[in-house]
Amino acid sequence: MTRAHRHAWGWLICVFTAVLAPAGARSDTPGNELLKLVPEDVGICMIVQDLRDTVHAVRGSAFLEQIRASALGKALNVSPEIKKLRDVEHFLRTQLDVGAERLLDDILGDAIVLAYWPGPPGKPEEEQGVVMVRARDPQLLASVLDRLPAMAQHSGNAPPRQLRVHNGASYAAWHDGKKTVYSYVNGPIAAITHHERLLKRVISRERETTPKESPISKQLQRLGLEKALAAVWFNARAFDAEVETQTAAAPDLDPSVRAAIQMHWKAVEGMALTASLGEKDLSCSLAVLVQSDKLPPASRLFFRPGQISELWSAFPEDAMLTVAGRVDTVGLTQMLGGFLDDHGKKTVRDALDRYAKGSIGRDVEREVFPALGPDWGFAAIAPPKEEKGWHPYFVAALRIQPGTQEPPLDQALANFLNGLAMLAVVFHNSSNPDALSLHTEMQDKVEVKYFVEEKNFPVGFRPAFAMKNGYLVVASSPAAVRMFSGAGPHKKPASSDAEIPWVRISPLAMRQYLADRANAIAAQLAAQNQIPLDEASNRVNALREILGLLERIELTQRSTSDQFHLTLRIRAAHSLRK
Amino acid sequence: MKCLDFQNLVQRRLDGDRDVENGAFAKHLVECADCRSWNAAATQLLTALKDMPEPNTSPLLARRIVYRVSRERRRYVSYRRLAVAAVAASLLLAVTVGYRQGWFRGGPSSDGTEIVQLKPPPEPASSLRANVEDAVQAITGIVNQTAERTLEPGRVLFPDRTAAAFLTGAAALQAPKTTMPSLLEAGQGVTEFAPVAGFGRFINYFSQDIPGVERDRKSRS
Repeated sequence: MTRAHRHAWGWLICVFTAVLAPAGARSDTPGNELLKLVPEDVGICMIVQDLRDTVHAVRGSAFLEQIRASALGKALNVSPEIKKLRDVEHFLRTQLDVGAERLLDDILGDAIVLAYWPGPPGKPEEEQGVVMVRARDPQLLASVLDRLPAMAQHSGNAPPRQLRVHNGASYAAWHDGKKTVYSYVNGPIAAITHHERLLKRVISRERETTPKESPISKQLQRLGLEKALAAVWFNARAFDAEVETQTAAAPDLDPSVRAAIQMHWKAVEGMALTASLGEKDLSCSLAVLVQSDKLPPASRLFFRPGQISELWSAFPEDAMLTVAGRVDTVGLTQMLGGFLDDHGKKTVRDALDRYAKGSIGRDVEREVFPALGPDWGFAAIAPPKEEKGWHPYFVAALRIQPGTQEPPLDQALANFLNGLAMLAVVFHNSSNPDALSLHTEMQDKVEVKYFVEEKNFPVGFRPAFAMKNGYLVVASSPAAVRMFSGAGPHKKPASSDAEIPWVRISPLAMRQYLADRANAIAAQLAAQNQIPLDEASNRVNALREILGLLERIELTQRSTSDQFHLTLRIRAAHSLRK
Repeated sequence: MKCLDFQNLVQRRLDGDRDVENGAFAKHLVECADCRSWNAAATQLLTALKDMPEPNTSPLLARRIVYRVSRERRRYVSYRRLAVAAVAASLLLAVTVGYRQGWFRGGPSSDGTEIVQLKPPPEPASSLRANVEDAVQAITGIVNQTAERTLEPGRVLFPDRTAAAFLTGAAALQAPKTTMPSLLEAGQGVTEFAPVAGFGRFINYFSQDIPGVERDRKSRS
């Protein structure tokens, strides 16, 4: 690979890995230095730090080698876009006398901050923003900024620059052909904006002898996200006026709903979207910081340490897809009810009583809801090798508590579902020549009901349901019900630091499934999509290659009394770092 | 009748036209010994050809002949196209380079018509703006290509009707008509909610100075 090619890939990595690399644990990191200059009433602030170390680490990684060797990598390598990036790099080298690599290493590699102030409600045109950079090479930074005005003009001639002074510091003002640009540079720090007053505020903060700790830094530290490579932080208070105006202006919004929205909003201190790169994981996180004493009690259910669902031990570890969690049904109902007016609540209650109470014979709100859950889950599992059909097994489960009355609620629910199944068969057969039938299979004293329709159902697909080990289980076949083992012993509450999984996807298991059933799946896809068998096989193989890049994808939650974190973690099949 | 005319009539007779043997034909036949020999030889040829057995040709002969002829024709056409394309490309290149170099300068003549004049070009200043635009387009192209190549194999597993069924099911989850907003309305409400909309404006603000991105947005609005 030529040097130019490597540089072009470097550009690409620069973009894709803009969320990489945890920053070092320095007391005043380059990122913190910049954040201190951001006025506190900022609305949204984005910080990218340690880009240099991350790009260098990824560049020599096994994962990148795997991408390069793949069909995707080969196609990108010869694409005209890579050539364009090479040309841009050549331009930078000739105009700035600095290549992309040096630009990354010495100017952009420490820290970059983009700070934004929204306009007042109804005046979005009054929005403001500033870009700040903390460079490793102050001389290079100054040199690049000197050449920027000339480069921004087509003619190549530098527009006239004015030097102005504020607080004993000088800054430049020049016109880029569209707007006036104000730029300030002092040693390793530079700031560029279209708004002079904003630049003066930044300069004033920079000139303070004892600069204050940034509230953004403080909140990121509270959230444990100060080392993220990229973070977008939202100041809730900067949007108070807009939220109030929006809720006041909504014509159909009931006053109680309006009050609920505003109460919840005022409890939010800040939010952050972050991304980090570990050894094999790319993590993207949404975090919310609240003052929980300002939240109504029902809403605090999202802000207490979670508990891992029992169903994670009930579904196989190598399931292709697993979704499981615990839900406080009563609390959730109450929280949602807080957003309904009295009429809305009555309508929902009446509907439940009419359709559910009459069939089950229980009060839905007082008896049924409290007995549902808390564990619920769903899984897609590759069928065993001896299974003839290629269809994956699907299993869904919901914990049903027996309740306090006789007969137990789970039995009442099972009877209700049996009746519903028989009705479904009757209705189907009355209008369809292909007969549907309902069968029963006993699996270790568990009665499993399943439908059979030979003509239209795929091979192996026989929808089934059963009450098993305290769970209502609905599955794609009786064999899938048999795979559901039922939950293990009730786990103790997790510590406040524990991450609670919600979703787990296993590209590894999917890849194996596609390999084991390649012929059958390709034949099915060819028939379904009206494409030649060869093309279907090629697509299956292409999908396997893509899946081979990843090992696991997870969505997890972590909560404390004042924080809620939702994290998407993508684990690569090979190391993401050199 | 001249000999040439007589010979033409003989040709016609050989082609099956019986109406040629008129008085003038017979008169010339008597008068001209050369044409009499010529006529006798033509008659002999016709008789001999009728007596010859039919040749045993391959059923593909006709197809081979057509193929060879059309191949020759294609080769001729492609050469011609290549030649035309080369000329056109040269012209286009010349025009494009000339345009960018500012060779073509128009100006009104004394009678008001515009005159195109060739002028030596100033050295073009490759601008930061153009290069940033190129970089943005390249990166966008790479991201799109990557997404397409990653998602395309997976799309085969999910036919359109699955997506349609999902959407139908999702729409069916709409709440009964109350003051409680439907799921779709709630979803729309989320995107319009202040911090979410604010994030969109944040992206717009910092990308508005990127050439190409700004133009794309204006053309879409």
